Amino acid sequence: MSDRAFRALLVTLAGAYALFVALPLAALLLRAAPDRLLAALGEPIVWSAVGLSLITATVTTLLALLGATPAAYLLTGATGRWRRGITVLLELPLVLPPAVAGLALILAFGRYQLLGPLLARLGVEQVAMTPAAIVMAQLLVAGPLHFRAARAAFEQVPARLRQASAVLGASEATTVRRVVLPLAAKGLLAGLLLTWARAIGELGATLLFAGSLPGRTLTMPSAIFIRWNRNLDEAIALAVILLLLALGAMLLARRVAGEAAR
Amino acid sequence: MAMRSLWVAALLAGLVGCRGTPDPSQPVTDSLVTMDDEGAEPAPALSGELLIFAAASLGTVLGELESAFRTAHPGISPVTNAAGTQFLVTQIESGAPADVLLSANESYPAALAEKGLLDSPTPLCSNRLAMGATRKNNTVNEFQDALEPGVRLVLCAPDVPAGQYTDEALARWASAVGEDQAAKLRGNVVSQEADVTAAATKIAIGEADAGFIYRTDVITHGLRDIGLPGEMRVEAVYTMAAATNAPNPAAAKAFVEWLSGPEAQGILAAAGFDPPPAR
Repeated sequence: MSDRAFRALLVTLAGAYALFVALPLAALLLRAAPDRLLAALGEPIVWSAVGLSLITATVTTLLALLGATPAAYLLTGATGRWRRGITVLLELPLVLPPAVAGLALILAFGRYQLLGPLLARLGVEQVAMTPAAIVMAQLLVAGPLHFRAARAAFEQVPARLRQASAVLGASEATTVRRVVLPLAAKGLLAGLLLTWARAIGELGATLLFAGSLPGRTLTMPSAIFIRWNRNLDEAIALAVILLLLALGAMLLARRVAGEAAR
Repeated sequence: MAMRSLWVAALLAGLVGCRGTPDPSQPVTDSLVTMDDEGAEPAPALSGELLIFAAASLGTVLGELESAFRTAHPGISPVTNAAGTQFLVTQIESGAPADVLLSANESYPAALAEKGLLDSPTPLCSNRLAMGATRKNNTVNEFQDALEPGVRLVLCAPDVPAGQYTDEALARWASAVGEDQAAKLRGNVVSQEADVTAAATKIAIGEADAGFIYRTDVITHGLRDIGLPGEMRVEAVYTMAAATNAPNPAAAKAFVEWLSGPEAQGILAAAGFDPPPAR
């Protein structure tokens, strides 16, 4: 095959794929007639779903920052069998179907499941079917994105800088604060943005574990799923908002990560 | 989950594309034989796939119905897509290949028939709205318990037929007992589910204490049947119709006819469904 024919083949296949990705998004935006979009935006149920999604995804991201960042720090450059095993475990939800994640959450935290009786003794009567369940579903599904990005960011920090800091008498906490975090900051931020974008779009685990009640547990993706059959305009309005939010988070993450790579 | 049903629909579309479907030039479903036809041919043996789009609440009994129908027509392989009827309607509107729709209400198939997507619907059976309570606790033992603060109830979303029956029942009951009572009940709702099976499952595992589902779901999920006040007695009339563009029209028509016959009606009755109301 000549180079030219080979290039032509590549361009054809790539073009078909790009078209396949672009067409559904274009169809969505074409259907979003501005007047009907604005009318749908006037619905209280739409706004409560937007608000709930923004809040839960942000709380999820903060929890990922608090939990997945230290995990990534401790497991950076892990070589031992146990540490590698834990790393795989923490990244496993990346490939876990969300419905499986939701089922697993119910079986762990359900009122009459594994931890339910213990939680009840601690005064937590109900976890499933509450707004907290949304955050838990999002954290399980989206947290690994930050964990993975944070590990990559920490691995970029040269070990000799940490060693130098220790030699100069700095404690580990000081080294993390003054050396590791500043150098890893952009990678961490990119990971958090991706986690936020994934969290705000979470559906499968949320529906199973948190249910859907307007104003309480009905997130944007749930509202699209539960209500699109008879409220297509509303679903399209929500879909456009979700698309723009996710796009914004992704572009920001790319920009931050791009700067980090430089 | 209905996400799964979307996949099923997509899968079905693929399967149907590959399998041989009955020759569309043979008008086997038409009772009118035009003069151009080469005389009355013997009805060909039914074969091929039969794509059944069925309301979630029919999911359990459908297995029995299918195997009985297959005994009569061994050449047919039924494939079921069970979900909230509102999803099935959207799928059919979007061009998903379906042979038969079995709906948990009358209005959805009627609307599809008006759009020319379904044949004229006929009654299949009827069901009753019921309150099922979990066996994991004794929070709800009678209907009044459902009004107590802190009780956790589930019902179906307003697009789902079961959700519409629940709305109807609640509205009638509210006008009898007063809006404040109804507000107490509505305030205890923790989730509006996408289909009645999802609601019944959340009751069965005890994440909800009780909820509005069908009597047949109370039976299949082994729940406790909490008697509803008289004002809340709502009859759910299930209807069925063959799709206008059914990939397998002969089988679709035969299945719909068979479903109104004594064998199918007996299976439905054994599962707790009532015969369709006499018209």
